[in-house]
Amino acid sequence: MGNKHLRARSILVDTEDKVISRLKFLDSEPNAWSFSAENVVINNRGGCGNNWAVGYTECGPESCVNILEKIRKETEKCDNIMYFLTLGSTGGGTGSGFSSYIIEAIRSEYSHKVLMASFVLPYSDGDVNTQNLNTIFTLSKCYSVCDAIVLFNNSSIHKQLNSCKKFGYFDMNRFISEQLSCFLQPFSNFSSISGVYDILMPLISHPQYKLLALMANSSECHTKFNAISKWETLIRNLNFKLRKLDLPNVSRIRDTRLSNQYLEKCIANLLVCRGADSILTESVAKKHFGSSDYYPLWTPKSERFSHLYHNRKFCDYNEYALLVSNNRLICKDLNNILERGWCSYVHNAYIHHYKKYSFEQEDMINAFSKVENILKCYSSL
Amino acid sequence: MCLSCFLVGQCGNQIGSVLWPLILKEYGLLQQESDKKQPFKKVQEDAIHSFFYQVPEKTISCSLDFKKSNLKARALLIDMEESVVQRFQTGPLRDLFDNACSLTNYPGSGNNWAVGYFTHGGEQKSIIKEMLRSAAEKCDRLHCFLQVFSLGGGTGSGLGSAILPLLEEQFPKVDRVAVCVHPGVNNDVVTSPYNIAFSMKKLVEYASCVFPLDNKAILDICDRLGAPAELKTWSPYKNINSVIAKMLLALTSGARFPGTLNLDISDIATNMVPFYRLNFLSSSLFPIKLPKANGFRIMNRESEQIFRVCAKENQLLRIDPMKGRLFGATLLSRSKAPLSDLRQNIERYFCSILFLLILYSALRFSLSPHTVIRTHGPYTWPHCKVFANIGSVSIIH
Repeated sequence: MGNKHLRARSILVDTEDKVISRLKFLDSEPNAWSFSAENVVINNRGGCGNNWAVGYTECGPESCVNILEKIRKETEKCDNIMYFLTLGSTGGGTGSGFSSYIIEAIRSEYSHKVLMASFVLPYSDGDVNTQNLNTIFTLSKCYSVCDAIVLFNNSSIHKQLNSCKKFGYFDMNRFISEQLSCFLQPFSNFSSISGVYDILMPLISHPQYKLLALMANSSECHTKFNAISKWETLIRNLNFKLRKLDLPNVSRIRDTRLSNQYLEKCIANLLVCRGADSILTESVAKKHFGSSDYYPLWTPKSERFSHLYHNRKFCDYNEYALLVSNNRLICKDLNNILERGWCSYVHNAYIHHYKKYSFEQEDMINAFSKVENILKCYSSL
Repeated sequence: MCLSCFLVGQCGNQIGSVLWPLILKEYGLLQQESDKKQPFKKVQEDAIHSFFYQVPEKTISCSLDFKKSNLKARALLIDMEESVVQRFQTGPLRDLFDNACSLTNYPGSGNNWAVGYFTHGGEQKSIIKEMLRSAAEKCDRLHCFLQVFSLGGGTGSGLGSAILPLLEEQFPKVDRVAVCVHPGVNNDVVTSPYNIAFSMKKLVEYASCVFPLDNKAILDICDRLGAPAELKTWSPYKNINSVIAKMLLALTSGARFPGTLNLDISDIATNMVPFYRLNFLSSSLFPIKLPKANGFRIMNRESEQIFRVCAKENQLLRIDPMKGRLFGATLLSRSKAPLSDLRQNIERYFCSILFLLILYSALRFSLSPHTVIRTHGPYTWPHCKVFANIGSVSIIH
């Protein structure tokens, strides 16, 4: 690469070309980055029609060989592959069905690599009518093959962005990408050959618990009045997010010892701080997340909480704190999805769309029971 | 993504004669001499293959000279009389339609469903099959069949419902969308109740989703919007047809143009049909601007438009969605409004209305009550924000 033209190590997959055709593929400027036009797989059938079964039983088998070939070529360019990361949504048909097939294929091809899937859950009050069924089928397929699943929730992102201004999908995507890149970029107090696996391992120490939630808190550049205890505020706010949400006035309880009964149980927490002076945050972080009340007894003490930092400024933020957590809060979303999913299943609504693509009742029941199992594990923490 | 458009019977073809100029206009191909020539936008160029094909490919120019640019419409014109289809072949758009794509016969069906279904359906079966095959071969990916016909007459209802099983047999995985006009209370043909009943049976069984349109309801909308001042230019059917054509454009816009959230016809068919056979969807449109009508143009706020689009008077069927039982609703919006605004307004209006409905619903669904989809169209109608609300209602009056 003489002219330092950067290519993203990514493979773009879709069932229609309208979105991909608007991405940038070639930039003549030096030092610019672009997607590689060779790494595009479009199974052009005009979308999956919000139907998981179309993606899983039709598109998947059709383009799987092609995609694996692209992945092979891309992996050959790497000297050391750390992990595979998939991005998608669980509401529609392509992101859910197609990607669950691909994830399974990647697992069978690269059985020893870390496979991390990240999914965006649709709005809980409804994006599309089949979203709950699609989400359940996706989770049931991916849960057994992925090492970790990072879940984002459109509703909660919407809520968090709501305070600022008018926003569109671009801002929501940015919000998600910032969190992911804060999590996955290098740290200054951590260097290891096996890279991300050592960071992930404490978080996903138990094979039954692999749903990760990311929570971010940041202070933006343009705020002029920098209080000295800025970091502490950010971290304390993150800590409050781990409290049970349905209890009133939880955020007013300042003393951590008093409020311990309101804590949500976590398997493990990881706090990432990026920005100036983030090296000094360790003691504050320990104070807030080190308490053993958070964690079930069977987790080893050393693995419960880790703290990583980097002094470089992240994006446009002076301070950016991110909490990666494997905790019980996900129960609420899962329960919601399952409840609605069952509701449409028992009424037989939308089922005929899936049956048309040979996804039978038995498979559906299997999927439901798998997700019920996940929910049970988490709620029994 | 290709949409194959069937126009069956006299009514279907008359709608087509309004629809195609509107489609051309939307792609910026139909421009008046007086207009300043606008450059062909990339969005339009990418989307042009949805309704048109070119053999061999050439650069498309913004002119009516379709012969020069080899532009052909993906349309099949089927009628058992010659008069209407003939008009296509002699009119200004004659080069747009391939001669192989039109099918006429003599005599007509005489408002008799059985003649259309059995006699013509049987005789023309192999010809229609051949037409279908050649139309499908010109598509690089066939998205859906759009079938436009009326239920009152003989040819549209009879032959139209004979084509549906044929489509299912030949292309089982391609969606079949039937847009059918029925006469409503203004019944002008004595046999139309029979014709409607017989074709309904076929529609329920073979179409992926059906958009019934009531002539009377649309006529009421047109009347309200105001007839043109001069009586000699007053043409009720032209106005009705233009409303139907606009509804078709709004319906297919998601499949043709890129948007923040892509909504295709197959998405509608999945989301709006919760049960096999419950596939009749009601639709509404707001705002509607009639050609040559000199009413006031009222600009509404976004929030109001969402509210108005589900109001009773803007329905293209004579129903009140506020009093029915809804399985779901899809909102197609063609505007530049940001997502946060749109969602907020929907929460404000839709939820209050729809949740109420769902509580009354016999099945007590807690399915997600609404679907929000936005598509950016091309901006050929800069002031006109088209909202199409498509709600599936279980009871059709």
